[in-house]
Amino acid sequence: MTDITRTARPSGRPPTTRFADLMHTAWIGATGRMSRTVLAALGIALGVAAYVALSGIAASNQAALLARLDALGANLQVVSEGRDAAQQPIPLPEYAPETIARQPQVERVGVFDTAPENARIFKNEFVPKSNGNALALTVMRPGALDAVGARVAQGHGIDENNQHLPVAVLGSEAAYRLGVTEVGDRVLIDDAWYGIVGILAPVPQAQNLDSSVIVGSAQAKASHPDQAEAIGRISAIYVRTRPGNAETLRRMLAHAANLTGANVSVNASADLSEARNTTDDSLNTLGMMIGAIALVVGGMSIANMMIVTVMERRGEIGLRRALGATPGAIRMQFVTEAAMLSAFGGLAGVTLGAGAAFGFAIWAGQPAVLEWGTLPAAWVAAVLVGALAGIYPASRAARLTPTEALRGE
Amino acid sequence: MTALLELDRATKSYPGRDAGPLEILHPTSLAIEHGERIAIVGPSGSGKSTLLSLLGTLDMPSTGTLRYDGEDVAAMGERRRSALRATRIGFVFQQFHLIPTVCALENVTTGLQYTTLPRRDRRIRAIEALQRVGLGERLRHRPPQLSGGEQQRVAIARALAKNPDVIFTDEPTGALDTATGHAIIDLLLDAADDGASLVVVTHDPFIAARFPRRLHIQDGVVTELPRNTRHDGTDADETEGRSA
Repeated sequence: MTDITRTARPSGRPPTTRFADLMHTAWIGATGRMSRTVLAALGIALGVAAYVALSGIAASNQAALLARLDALGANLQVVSEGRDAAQQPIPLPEYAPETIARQPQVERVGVFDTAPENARIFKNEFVPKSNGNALALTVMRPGALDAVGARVAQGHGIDENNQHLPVAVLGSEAAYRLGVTEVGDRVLIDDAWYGIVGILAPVPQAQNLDSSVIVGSAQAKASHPDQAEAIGRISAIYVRTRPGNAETLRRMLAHAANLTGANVSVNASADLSEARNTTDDSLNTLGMMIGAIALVVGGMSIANMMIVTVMERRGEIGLRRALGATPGAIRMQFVTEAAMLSAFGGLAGVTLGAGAAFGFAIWAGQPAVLEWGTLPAAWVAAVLVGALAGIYPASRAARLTPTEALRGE
Repeated sequence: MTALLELDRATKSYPGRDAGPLEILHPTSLAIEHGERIAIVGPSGSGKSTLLSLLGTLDMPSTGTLRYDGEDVAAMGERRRSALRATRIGFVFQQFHLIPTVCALENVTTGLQYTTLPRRDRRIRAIEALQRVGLGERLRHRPPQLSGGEQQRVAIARALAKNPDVIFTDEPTGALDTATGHAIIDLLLDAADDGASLVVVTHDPFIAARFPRRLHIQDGVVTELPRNTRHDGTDADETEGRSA
């Protein structure tokens, strides 16, 4: 006993507060009055939850929006023939699809050939030939619909196996006008019967397909031997690229499409590309601002609660001073306690917010996206806010003299 | 040998309402030797607690000096005074001042929190101290689960755990019935047998009678009462106390 006594004596310098003691004391303080702790931490929890949920929901919205923009054609470019000085079309060279496909930014290439002239499309032979129905015949090479991103609502598209058969795919509007509701029906194209193998869903990124009757390239040539050479000419190349600088992509595609440097028309959906870039920022900023406001409000609720705590626990403060706590140790104790409250609240908030964001995404059928990096950042911010909120009440606690504080209870 | 504690013409004043500062303790000089047992008696409002706060370094004299082991306490600075209280001075209060939300052991360990002792040693010492006051079986009880006497024993264990030079107690029996109160005084006197000085503030003459040295304080003036020569302080002699 005696030798332990010696170690307890002041050793020149006063004992400094140890981290484990600090945490322990803060834990005792914070968990001593659970209901109040929960209520005080709730402010921070709701603040952090609001921020995490909002940024999560914003991220989900954004992911959904970007996916839609991309589907619409934010990264879809249309390469078609340019015109020379005399306004005469310059045919695209036959190698164009291949050179374009070889570019690293290019993901998919779909080729449409020139359609036969004056094609007449009717439901059946009883429709008077004078009744035009404003439907266009479109000639595609296998894989073209995939590159466009057109979705087949019924049946299937035209591929290597059926491109030389008298089969057709209808755009949504074309199917409506022809009165075709199911695959397996047939239509009359230039006096020849074609089986309908597929009906497309509306294609907003290439609306000309909606009122088109699409046939395979090989079949078109075979059924129109007089125009075979014209049909063999590429009318448009749909190119699906990775997102990137629109101007650079356009130049790259124009060059790849015609290596001689002749004019090529490249249409990029530039408006959509810009929309894509702007959505990024606005939603994030909103989430950040709401989170910051919520955190400040949460911090004030912690500060408020700590002021009450300090008043209520004057007796304990006096006791600790009598037991040898320095004013600094008292200050640290209450700052740590406030930070610990915030840490609990922050943890609950992160969990709650992430849950809410995921729940919303699932409910809204959006991709569940969470920026994982923001979770620890939100938590650290909450702890900092808590510590800041604790400084003023803690300083009040530290300023109490031991006798004042002991009288207080 | 230097006295453990020495007040030299010390006074304590507080800001008064209108007529200038109010002197609660008039110039007082006294010395407390190592191992001495002292009772401070006097009516309420006489300045007993103020004197105790000064002696316990909880408050500084307005004028005059307090020396601890010959060293001027006012010159030590807040940090060293805190370290002094942490390691060498024990307090026992009338209202116990236990932390209600933690167990007895934790309360006693808190008494050693501001020393340089490692956590493990603090725990060992706290258990020893609780065993010494007869609460070895109630380490895990929280204050609300303990009787008043038991709570005060926890508070005494907290003061004893650091093996202090001196224990100051302010009305330690004030919140207890007479029998329990005397048991608490027994415990304190017994603990002081290890060499610690013991200073007890009380308004109860029977308790004061059990101390060899008694200071009477009234209206801020401290008077040394005749030495209680017939008393060795080891057992209760209440007949003597009542006649005093």
